[in-house]
Amino acid sequence: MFSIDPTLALISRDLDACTLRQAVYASNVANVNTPGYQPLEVSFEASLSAAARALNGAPIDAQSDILDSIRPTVTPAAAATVELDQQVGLMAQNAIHYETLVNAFERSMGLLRLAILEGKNG
Amino acid sequence: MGLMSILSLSTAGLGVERARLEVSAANLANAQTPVAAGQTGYEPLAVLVRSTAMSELSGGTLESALPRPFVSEIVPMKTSPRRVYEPGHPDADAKGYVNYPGVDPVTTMLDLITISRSYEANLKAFDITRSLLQRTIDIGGQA
Repeated sequence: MFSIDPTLALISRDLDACTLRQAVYASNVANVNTPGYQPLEVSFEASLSAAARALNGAPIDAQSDILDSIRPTVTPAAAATVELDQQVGLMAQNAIHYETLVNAFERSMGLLRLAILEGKNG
Repeated sequence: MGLMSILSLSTAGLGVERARLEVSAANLANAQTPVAAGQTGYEPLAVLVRSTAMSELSGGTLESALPRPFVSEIVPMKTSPRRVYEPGHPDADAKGYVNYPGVDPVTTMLDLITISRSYEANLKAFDITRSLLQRTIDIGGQA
């Protein structure tokens, strides 16, 4: 989508992963009293760092394929039961990460806007 | 609409906890209702909560495929009635015992505490998702 700027593409991938994390924590909390529920978690960082290594020195036309390969996945968590306090804590942590990403997104957009307006205040 | 479906996920959690609260309250409220000899009275109830199976991705987002809790059934509990010796009571049987529904006040109160905590946690999850949505709507707002 944001082939114009790989930074924006990376940020939006991470925002997607953050949204999925929030969903998974919400699911764990909602199912805290469901018998036999297996808590879930999201793995994303491994795929992100693999893509970062692949991007290093990759030709421009290969970049969008590498960016597409960054995908968060939902896996069963190691713990067999949901710990409410832990899940709510993780959720708060994830919200701060989300906030940081949105700020980064806005700043990158600001740089683009600056370039489009040739440095003049629009 | 990833974040929107998380809101409905937390709402499903709130609904389940509310159903459990209703049933626990009904059990407590009817705990002191005597059952006349030879008749069936109030039976303590239990909520059976199940969650939807994690569905395969078919066009929708991963968020909407996550397990969602729901109240599967509200069924009578397998408890035996509480027998209290009250010979003068109009509902007493031949031996002077009155049957009360088999509600254990201690476990019911314990259930109420966990229900309350789970409800709070779901509310917190809802609130955090709402703040993320709000932040997303605000992108580019000050430009």
